[in-house]
Amino acid sequence: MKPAERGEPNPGVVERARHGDQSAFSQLVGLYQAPVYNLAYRMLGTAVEAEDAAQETFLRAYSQIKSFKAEYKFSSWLLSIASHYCIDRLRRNKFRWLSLDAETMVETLRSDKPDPEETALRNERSGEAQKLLQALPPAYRVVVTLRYWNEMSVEEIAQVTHDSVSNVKVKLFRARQMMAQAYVRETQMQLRPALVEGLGDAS
Amino acid sequence: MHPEMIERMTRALDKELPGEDTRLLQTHLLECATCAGEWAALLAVHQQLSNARMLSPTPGFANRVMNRIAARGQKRAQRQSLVGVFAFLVGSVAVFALTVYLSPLGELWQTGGWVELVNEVIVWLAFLSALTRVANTLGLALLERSGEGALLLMAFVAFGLTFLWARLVSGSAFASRQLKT
Repeated sequence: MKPAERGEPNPGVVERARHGDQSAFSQLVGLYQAPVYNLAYRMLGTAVEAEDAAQETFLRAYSQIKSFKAEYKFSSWLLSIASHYCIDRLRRNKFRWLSLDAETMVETLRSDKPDPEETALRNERSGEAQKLLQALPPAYRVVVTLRYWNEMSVEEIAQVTHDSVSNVKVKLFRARQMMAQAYVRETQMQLRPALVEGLGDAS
Repeated sequence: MHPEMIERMTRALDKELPGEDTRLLQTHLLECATCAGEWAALLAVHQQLSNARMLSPTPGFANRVMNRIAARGQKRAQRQSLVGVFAFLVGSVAVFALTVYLSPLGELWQTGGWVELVNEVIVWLAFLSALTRVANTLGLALLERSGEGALLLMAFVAFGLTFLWARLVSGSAFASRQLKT
């Protein structure tokens, strides 16, 4: 999400949603559906699971909205719910991976049309970014997703993940190293000193 | 590999590396092939992640969420009403049990006097049965000796006495109500 897109909603909308106004909450869903869905997709890896996790995030937000404190950013609060839910879900999935595979297979067989997100990922350099993410443990995946797609600072990520700033930095550092190793393995990349030129692009 | 250079590389990716350190890193990468390879991989990953677009759900997502919220609200209302009925039943049973416990019946229960109570009832039933038998015998005797007229007279007297008793009872109840008011 670009900075312009992550503007906070009108405080009045959040306040109305806190008082049970469903149309105000619907506005919030419309405003944040993409970042929440994207986080869920990057964490879970399939459109079916991402849709369900994103919906569940908003259901939880709806039932807990009274606990939201105005001094925090609404997006941080919402993404915090989403990230914790996705990590829990991945932990649960670990214990029922066989049945999950069966479900995913049934879901794939059920639909004839290609899923729009699957198509988008294929266009996105064959979903290479997604492949790299899948090589990471869930706690690292959240940090990377919030950093790259939500363009959050380390401090903001720490707030979302309820972690310390130094821990977030370590996770980001290790995650990058792990992904770099996975990338080298995947592409059989040769060491080329000429790529030093890239330093100018990054900095 | 040089760990301090890896640290510099990640800071460079986050655009947090000061100019002097950037130059040091550049010089090092030209001399160290291992670190140059690491940098190339880190940069490739960084660029892939930076170029990946944000994914959105299929159209109608907000409606699907709001429908689920409504469905969950209905379920909760149903569950609450069931809990309400259950609470009412449990409460009623509790109040009934408490009432029985505090009443003379409860006292009997506590002292184990149920047997005595049943005996009392049996005695009363036996007494009523005996009374009925006496009344029956008396009626038959009256019918045999003095005929139907005497029996009719006795019934009339009994009816009159009952009426009088009823008037007296209702009169006293009326009087006590008047006194209270």
